Amino acid sequence: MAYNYKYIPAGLLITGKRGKTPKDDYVSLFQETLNNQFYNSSDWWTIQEETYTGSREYVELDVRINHVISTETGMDLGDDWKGLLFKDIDHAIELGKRYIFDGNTWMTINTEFYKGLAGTCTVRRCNNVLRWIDEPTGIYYEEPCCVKYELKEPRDYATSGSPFKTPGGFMHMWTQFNDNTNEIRENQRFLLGNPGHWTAYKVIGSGLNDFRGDITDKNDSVKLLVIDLAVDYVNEQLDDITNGIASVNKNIYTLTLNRAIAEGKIGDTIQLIANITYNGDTATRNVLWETSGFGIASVTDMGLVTLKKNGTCTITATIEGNPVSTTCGITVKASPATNVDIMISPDENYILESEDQIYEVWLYENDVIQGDTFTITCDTRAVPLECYGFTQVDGNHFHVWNKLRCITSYLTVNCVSGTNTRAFDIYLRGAWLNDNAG
Amino acid sequence: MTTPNPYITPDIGDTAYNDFRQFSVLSYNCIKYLMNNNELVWKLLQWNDSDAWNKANLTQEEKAALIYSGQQDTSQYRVFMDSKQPDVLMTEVALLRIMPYYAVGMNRTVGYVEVSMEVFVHYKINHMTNYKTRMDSMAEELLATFNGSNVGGLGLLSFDKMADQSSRLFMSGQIPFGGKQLIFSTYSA
Repeated sequence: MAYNYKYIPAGLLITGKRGKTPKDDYVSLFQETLNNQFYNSSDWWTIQEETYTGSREYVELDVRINHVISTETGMDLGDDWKGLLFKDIDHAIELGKRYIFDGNTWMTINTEFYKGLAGTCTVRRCNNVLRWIDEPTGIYYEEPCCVKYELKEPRDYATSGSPFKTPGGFMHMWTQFNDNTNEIRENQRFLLGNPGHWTAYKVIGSGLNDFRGDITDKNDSVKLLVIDLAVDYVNEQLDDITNGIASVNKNIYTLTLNRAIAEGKIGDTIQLIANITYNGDTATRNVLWETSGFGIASVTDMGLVTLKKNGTCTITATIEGNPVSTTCGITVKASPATNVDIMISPDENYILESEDQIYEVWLYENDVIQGDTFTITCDTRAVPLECYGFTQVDGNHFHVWNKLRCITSYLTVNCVSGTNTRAFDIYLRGAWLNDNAG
Repeated sequence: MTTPNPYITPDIGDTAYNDFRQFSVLSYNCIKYLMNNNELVWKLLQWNDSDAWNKANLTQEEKAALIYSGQQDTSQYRVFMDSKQPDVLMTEVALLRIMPYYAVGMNRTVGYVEVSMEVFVHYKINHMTNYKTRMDSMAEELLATFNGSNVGGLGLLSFDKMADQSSRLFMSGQIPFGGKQLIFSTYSA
């Protein structure tokens, strides 16, 4: 049945199709009106909608988009605010849910969900991005955010006794509250601006307003995070002032594998071992493994490679969330060369001051331990004699003693067994690891 | 030989007065001396990461580029010949200020001048990978470089309470820029 919006035939009030009360009839007819008239306009668009808040996965959706009037002032809020009308009056609407259209991410900042007839919400254009690296894991995060136009109280101020003027100003922003943004903490710094001029902002002590629950008695129903930040300082060496990420160069990772290439025949397994350093010291982080040719060789989450078919492929190891990665070339053939490893345990590349360590060194062929012994020598480089002690205990063990920290050089232990050699660097650190100093 | 009492004006004539002519070149002479006789201070001023101490020495041109000489924006420089800072700093940096601080005329021909050396370091770059702080490292270098040094045109610069009661090192600055101030002295006649 065709009818015009705002005109509902009186007869339908009595003979509603699905409801039992007049109100149900009205609701049903409103939906039917939408069904019939939704596309009879110039303001409907196909946009991307997040499947649910925080999913970061999007699906296409037709909506009608309108400008938004402030209920307080009656003024048009401007181009960064839009009202969305959904075809389905029961469409799931959530604070914080994101949409993508016109090359921008938009975030739901207000809903008309409670006792509302139409499915509508107000979205705000995200005009910036929060970028940060999580220090404990090294994972990079990016989250779109809506920065309020004006900086509050922008000024340089000098306090009594201070030899310097201090930059001032408070920034107010919204972002989606999700697993990533829940990692943001007080005092965390962000860079905002552009590659020609970054300004640092630091989350103030009361700056994480993550208490806007969607449901009164469920504090895990928060989907919108409001952040207040104050102007802070940029560090041109430690911050990534090209991409606008704070403290990137304070968190330097390296990743190497025990083998750069490996060979085997069908059915063999090869154990790849990732060695990670964080600011120069051995560290443990999650490693993701990937094969370029699943039909030739598969790899498990622990780096165990299983050879399946003759051919070549590449195994890539990546520190989770971090751009640092490395590869091992795999060759599967009928008569492979023997894979030789010299494994040193423990594999930590440092000893703390006043501590000592006995290391084991063993030769492995195709992941099978051998009984070969080693000649083990220590290249002391420029490490002063009073800083270290070194002895070869037997053909497979050596002992290193950090008597006194040495910050200018390190020891290199050379393990030689026949034609197989491995050099192992050992740093004589202080009483604690100082690799994350400011 | 008996040491003359500096508090008694020798009979050297009615027109003999101390003109303190070296006063205005104190800062220049000290900075020039530092350029030629120290490397670590300059590295700690140039680099803002925790490994700054381990970097290569700066060239004379690189050192000179850190010295403020009247440009519009003082925040772009690290070494100054005076105190205070009119422009806001927006970066985590270290600064050095060397200036004449105090002058005493012990009599009409003999006096001494105190030289203040102030080190300021943004708190977040103070701790370094060599288990030292940038601020104390710079203060230590200044002491080692200047105490007993014959800074051209000044005479002997000393960190000596026997020569000047004010010779000392003390805390200064205010968060986020902590500081250390050193007072040296030199006789003037």
